[in-house]
Amino acid sequence: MSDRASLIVKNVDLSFGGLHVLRDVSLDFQPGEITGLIGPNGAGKTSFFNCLTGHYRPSRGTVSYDGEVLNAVPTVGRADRGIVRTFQHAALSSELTLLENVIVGLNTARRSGWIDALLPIPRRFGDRDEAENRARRALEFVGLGDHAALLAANAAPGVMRLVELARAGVGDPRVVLLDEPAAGLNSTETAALADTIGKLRASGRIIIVVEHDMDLIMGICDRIHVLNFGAVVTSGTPAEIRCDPRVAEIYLGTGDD
Amino acid sequence: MSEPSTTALPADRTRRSAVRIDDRMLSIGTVLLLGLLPIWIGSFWLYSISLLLAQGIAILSVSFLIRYSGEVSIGHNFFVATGAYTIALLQNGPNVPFLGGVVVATAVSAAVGLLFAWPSRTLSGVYLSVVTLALGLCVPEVLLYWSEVTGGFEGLFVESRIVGGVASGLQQYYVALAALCIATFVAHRFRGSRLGLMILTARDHPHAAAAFGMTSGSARLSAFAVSAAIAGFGGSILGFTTSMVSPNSFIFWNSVTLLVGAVVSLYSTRIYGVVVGAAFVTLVPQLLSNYGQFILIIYGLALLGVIIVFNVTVPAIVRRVRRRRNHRV
Repeated sequence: MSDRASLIVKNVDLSFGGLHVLRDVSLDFQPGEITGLIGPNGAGKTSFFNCLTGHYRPSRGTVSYDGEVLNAVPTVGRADRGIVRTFQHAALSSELTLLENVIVGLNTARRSGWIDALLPIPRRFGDRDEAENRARRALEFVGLGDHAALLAANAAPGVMRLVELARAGVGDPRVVLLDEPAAGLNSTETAALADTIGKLRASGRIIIVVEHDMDLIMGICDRIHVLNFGAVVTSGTPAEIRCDPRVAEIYLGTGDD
Repeated sequence: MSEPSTTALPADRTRRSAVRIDDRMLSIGTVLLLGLLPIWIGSFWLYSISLLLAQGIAILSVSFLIRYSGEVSIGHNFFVATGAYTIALLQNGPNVPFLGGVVVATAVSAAVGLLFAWPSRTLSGVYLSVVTLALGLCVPEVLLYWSEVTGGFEGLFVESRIVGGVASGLQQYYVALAALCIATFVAHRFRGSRLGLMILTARDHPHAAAAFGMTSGSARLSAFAVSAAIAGFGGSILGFTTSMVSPNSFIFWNSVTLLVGAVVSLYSTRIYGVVVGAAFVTLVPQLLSNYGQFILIIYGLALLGVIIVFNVTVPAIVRRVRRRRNHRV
């Protein structure tokens, strides 16, 4: 896998029955960049996102990463290729601690299987300690090092989002897909989140954010694509998008504040 | 979200670590107490408690399934019977020694569990429970149908001595105790393993588990297979402690008993929790043997009581305490 591998979406159509959700969408995502996807409700952002995660399969066109077409690769297989995601409604297991939830992010990187799960072999022969240490560093990275033992059930929404970021980032992923990371957060929590997303940026890594919160998108993204009615309306840097009259029109004047 | 989010981040590390030590000490205390118990009790109670411990393993298997897959089985007597008959057949036929028999019985039950779970892997909730109900109901019929192999109503004899010179009652007791210790240790240790964490994630958020490499189907199959293996392990120990296996010990009613025990133990995978659940379902009928017809009612009341207390009353108290504390702060 080359370090400059890019994620290429080519001529993607998606329709459910007679309803066209995506029309001929072609986008390139470059490593080292944070890309934002914006658009009003029903613009097709989430559908597009689901084509990237493998939840939907495009009716036409291809999604490829590092030269490999991913259309037929199920969600589970994308994890093996270093493509990870977060969820709009934080999907942490409430019975696990924050640390244990982050360890889940290392699943594809770990070798241990049924022997480690069922037989009382000493910890030093398994990879539990190694996984725990990596997860602990990831929690410290998002600023939650002191709360490793907190049960996810008792964590605040802002904390859960940070844990999701830690879980996504712990396995050194190639592509990170963030699904409305700021949904339901207050401004303090959103600021902490923006900081952390910025820190996830790495040279070979593609980060894609689908988001409603303009401040977050404008603050962290290198490039922004605007979707409306299932098609790409315009693309550009945050400054360009801010000044684009078409974007202001789509958002009825709220796009430029 | 009316509360400021910072209050929802208590620095409760010390409190949690204290709780951990308590858990471990309770487990060790329970094992020590059970280990010394034969000094004080007579042979009748020794036998009763041996049964209790073996039954505890079967209860643990039901708790394990509920905990790791969120599903309720009312057919686990099938897997307990599989384990018990496997060890009995291995002893009566090729004369396999006890330990080998236990290992094979556990493996066979896991395989049977997998075989059963494969076609029903997409079922959940009440649909899966109904399928397990069918499984639970068929056990005695199957055993009687193949009576030339299974010994029919009479059942099969199981050797209950593994070392010479020690009273068989004591052997049964300590083997059952050791087996329960092993089963709870494995079940508890499983939680921290890679697969344990993935299976728990798949139970709460199947999409999240899939995004990190485990489909909900394989998580459910895995949880069911391990649960069936524990049940079969318990069955082989049950055969050893009762020194015989017969269709009567594996009627559908036993599955209900296991479920009651699991609920009363609060689906615990800790030895003290399992022992409480097992004690309830084995000792209550014994202590109230003169009032046989009331046992069903007592089971029903216990189920209602435990479910209401721990799902309604306790959360309400916790909420009230938290609210009061927040007011003070």
